[in-house]
Amino acid sequence: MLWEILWRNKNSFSLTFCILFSVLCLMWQRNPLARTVGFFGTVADRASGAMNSGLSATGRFWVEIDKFRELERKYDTAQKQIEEYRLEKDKFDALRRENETLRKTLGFAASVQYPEVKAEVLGIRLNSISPRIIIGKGAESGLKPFMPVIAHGTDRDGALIRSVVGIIVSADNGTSIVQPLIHPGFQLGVRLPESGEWAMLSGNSGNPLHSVLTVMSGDGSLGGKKPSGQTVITSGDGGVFPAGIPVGVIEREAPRQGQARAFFVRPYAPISQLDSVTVIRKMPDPWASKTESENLEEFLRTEFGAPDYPETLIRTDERRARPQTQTDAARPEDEKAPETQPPATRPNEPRRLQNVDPTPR
Amino acid sequence: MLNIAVISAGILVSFFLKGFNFLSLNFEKLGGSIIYPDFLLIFVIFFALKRGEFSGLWIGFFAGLLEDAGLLGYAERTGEFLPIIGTHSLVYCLTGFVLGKVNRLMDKDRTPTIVLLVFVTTLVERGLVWLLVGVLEDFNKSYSFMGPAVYTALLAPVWFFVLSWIYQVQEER
Repeated sequence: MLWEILWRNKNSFSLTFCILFSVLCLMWQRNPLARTVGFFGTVADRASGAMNSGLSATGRFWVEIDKFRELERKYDTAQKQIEEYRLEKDKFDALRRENETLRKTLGFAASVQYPEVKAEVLGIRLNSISPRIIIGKGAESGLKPFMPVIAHGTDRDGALIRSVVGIIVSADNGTSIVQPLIHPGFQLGVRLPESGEWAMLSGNSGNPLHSVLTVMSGDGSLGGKKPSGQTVITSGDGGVFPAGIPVGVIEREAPRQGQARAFFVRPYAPISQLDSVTVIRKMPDPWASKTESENLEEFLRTEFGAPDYPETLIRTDERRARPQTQTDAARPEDEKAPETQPPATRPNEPRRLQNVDPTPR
Repeated sequence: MLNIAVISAGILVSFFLKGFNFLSLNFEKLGGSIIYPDFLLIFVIFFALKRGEFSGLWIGFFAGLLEDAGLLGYAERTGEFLPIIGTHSLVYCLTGFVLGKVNRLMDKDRTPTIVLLVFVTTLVERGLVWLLVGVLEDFNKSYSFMGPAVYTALLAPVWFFVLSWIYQVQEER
């Protein structure tokens, strides 16, 4: 009986269920159903990536054979170079030891080397409203949300460099989701080493393969230097990325962000063609997560102690509280206080400094 | 039961095709971006037109859930990334339902009808998703509307032919 009623009104019930479910998930994002769907989505993304690798493998087969012969020749050359570089490595180690000694002597913080994990890119979904990259390493390899992701790209001169890809936003056992730097929610503090300016990089640029850079310091003139072609590097001040990692290159001017000048930045990392990435196993600096939750007043503390603010500002002077339309001449004589004499201090009121005209009359 | 399994497989394959950027056009060297066809939406439209509102609604709902599964948003209160489920599922199920309702009013076998219908539907779907995600998170200034809508519409007749051949769908009378 009930089934018949349901079946007769199946369209209405189905529509109501689907709408209610979707709205509920939108309003209550932490519900267990949403998490289950999220899990299946990650599995589907992973399968999609695996299928991509499998299908593209056949197409690449003949290309790879051609490359193989060339690689053999390069291998022999590389073997000879390795011998030469062994000597260079010794020199590098000696320089690093010297650097550490000098840092210790001068009282600088010791340079930190973070462990890195290489991961294969399983899928790149830039066509989504929320662009993302799926990589083949996860929590089992020590990856956690907010860890920075970099890749090898080439700079303007064609030299191989490390460059910013994004940050990890979700990590399950064997896979992770990376939010690339062209994601609308991505923000990163950066520097322009050529002009010495500080800037904020955002993925919400209006251009799918570019980021937008807003100059935060100076007058935006970039030290009088030509903006296009300037390199952008991480500032390290956001607490997520280490300082000095190349991000991209300024291409052209973008519409102003309020009063600040803005520029489109082309990332060095080829986001749409990545095969592998490197995850720096570095968690955000402790202060980066603390500042928002802690009381900001602690930053105002000085050697004189914490600031003491009055609870409320109460105006006791009735004349000031009166509307300004009443002119001084129209006031009663007894209300006209002589301006040269400071008002007498009341017994329980703290003494305040008065503005005294030092010029002789 | 077999019918449901075959349709589920179709949803997954469409999702995978969309996922690994099958038939995407790369205009990066011309200073443009990459345009992707929306196979999942074509699949929903196809079944909504051929089988009516009930099938369109449910296929749209599950296709949307799959699409939603990878959406993550930053929750400032808790300082973590959480899945945003519900945007695509809501829009896709409404799309499937509405197209299933109006399918008898149009000549759905004519190519111009299919092209126009897919173009308009893709535009509306992308607009609604952009709006919903924008309200919940940030408005994505880089989200393209026209390019994917045109490309999806142009591919739709071919894809409809392939799907008709695979599914041999009996139209709902």
